Amino acid sequence: MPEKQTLEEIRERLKEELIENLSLEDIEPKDITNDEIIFDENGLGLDSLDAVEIVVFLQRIWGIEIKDMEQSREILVSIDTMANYILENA
Amino acid sequence: MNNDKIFITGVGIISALGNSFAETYKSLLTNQINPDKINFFDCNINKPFFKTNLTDTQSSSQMRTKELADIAFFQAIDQAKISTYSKPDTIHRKLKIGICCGTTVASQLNNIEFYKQFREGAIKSYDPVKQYLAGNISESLVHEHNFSGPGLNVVNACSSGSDAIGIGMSWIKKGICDVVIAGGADELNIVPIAGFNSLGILSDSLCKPFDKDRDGLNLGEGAAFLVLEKKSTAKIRKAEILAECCSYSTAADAYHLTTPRPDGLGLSTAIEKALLNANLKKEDIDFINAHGTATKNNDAVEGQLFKKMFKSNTKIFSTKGYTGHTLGAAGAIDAVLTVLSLRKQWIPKNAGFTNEDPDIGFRPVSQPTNYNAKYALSTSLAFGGQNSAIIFRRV
Amino acid sequence: MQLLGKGFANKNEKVKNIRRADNFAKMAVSASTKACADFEFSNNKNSVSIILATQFGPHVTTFKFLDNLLDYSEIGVSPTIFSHSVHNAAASYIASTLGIIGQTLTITSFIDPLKQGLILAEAWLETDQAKKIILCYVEEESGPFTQAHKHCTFPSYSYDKFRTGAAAILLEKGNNIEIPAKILNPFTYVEEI
Repeated sequence: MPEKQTLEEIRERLKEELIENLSLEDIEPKDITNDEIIFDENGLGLDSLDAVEIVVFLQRIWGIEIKDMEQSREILVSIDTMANYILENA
Repeated sequence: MNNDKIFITGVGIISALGNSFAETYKSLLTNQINPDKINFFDCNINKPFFKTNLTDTQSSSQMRTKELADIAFFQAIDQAKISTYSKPDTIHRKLKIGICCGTTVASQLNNIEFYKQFREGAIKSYDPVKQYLAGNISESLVHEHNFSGPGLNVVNACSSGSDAIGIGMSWIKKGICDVVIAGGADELNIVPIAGFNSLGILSDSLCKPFDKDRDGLNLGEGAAFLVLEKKSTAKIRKAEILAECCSYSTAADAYHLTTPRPDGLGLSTAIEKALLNANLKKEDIDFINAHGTATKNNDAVEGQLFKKMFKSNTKIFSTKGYTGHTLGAAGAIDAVLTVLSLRKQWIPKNAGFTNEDPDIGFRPVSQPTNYNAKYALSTSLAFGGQNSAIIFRRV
Repeated sequence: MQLLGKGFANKNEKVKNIRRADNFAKMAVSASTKACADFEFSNNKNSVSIILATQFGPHVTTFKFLDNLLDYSEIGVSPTIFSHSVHNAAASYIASTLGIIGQTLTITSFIDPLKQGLILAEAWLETDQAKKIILCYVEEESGPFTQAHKHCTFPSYSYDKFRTGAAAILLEKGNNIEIPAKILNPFTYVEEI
């Protein structure tokens, strides 16, 4: 990471990465709200394969290590929970 | 009907348990669990692996998977008294022999050095492609031994070994082959190791099938083959009948690419069809050699279904604590170990199990057990929601 | 065997609602869906089977996974790409898209895999292991194979060149299809039957 990103920058990057890495169809970054529950069927409707994919790109881009399922359940909730964790730990 | 029955007249096996049926039995009797580090390629994923004692084959002209397959193949045909190309005899020439082998690694051109050279626009040698093109295990075995039947690889991920046996049975029933040598082979390779690691399902410690605290699988390598045929052809060669291969069935979950269907519908469909094809009832099954990989999902789906479906004294066991998950070979290795169990009327303990999982509600065989069993079921679950079941009978 | 329907797909097939699927799987799903367009399986989904036959499988995705290994090391690879490099991913997508829960198999042989698929389909139909079978052949060219083709002898269907696409047929018991001695080009074969 060359420079410390702001919370807003992290959120935007996260949305772009979700769309790209999870091949989300017909969705643009502006369609994803910061507090929606991403694994909820009424939200993005993501599943367990998406969860492990997110773990990989958080590591690649921000160097975030998520060790186990329990930790992943706490962090991978919404754009906000992920962005806050990245801001504090990247 | 009797004439339609399919029997096993030869078995061959190589895994972390040893290089033959006899070595495998001895290792199980003495409870040998030998995980190891990978030493034949660079691997920074430090988990336990179950490798065979086949030495480094990187400089060999053959794929490691094919070398593993060859070892198991020769044991199986020797036991079944099938002579190979180098030892021609008339009986062998008259039989239409086919090969069906399950694999994952051998189906891919995953030579990283070659691919790196391709990316850099500087391919130095096309030998890896030539090796891959010569390495379809079933086709090359048919070719090398001058068999007149088909050679087909099954690439159904982790159930491939079981599915190869199922295809072999179909070929015999339909009269396409007199004898089918069916099984599976897979090597430890960086592609599935990195892939399974990225899915978060590799355990840091020895795997614990059906245990409350199970936390993932261990990968392994190996190969196994079974010689399948009707009694009439076995009789000609005076081959001993080891067990009957009663029926096979497979069913799809139509659910998810990497997660098994939680209600187990695909698996129960496969088991029910296999029972129906064998004209058996659930109560007839004395022993289940489960897929039991020790992932949270697999063992929950299998365990809950077995608990619901089978009588309470059915013995349930997973081989994975001894062999690791050998992917395309797993179904075939499990089949050979099921035949071993039926012949010896003995089940090893389910390695890795300590605490019962209340969400499953039974204990697998936790001590070596002598038993009296006639019918055994072997199950395989795979990526893509594939579920396969084979039923064997003691003879 | 009786032919009930057929369908084809090419490289740029647009298939909705299988967002993660790679091109190989999308071609397979598209061709299979077209082959079954006139049939409703709702009452007997466990008597419909799928056989996917290929010479080489989803190698474009396999090479993407090798890109991951080279670019990010073995601890930074994508689980999604890995799961799609497994050869039976495409058959799994056909099953989930059409809701089929019968026997599903993926087979490879370098020599005439579509014929091998026909032989197996006939065996399953005649031994009542399936009432209907979707047999789908899929192939996809990739950079390394296209380049290697100039230097190595490729077998069977790929001997002269690589053909990308999918062809699917829906089969049941009957006698309007005889298994040919040899199929030279799987796409022409399906077009002509």
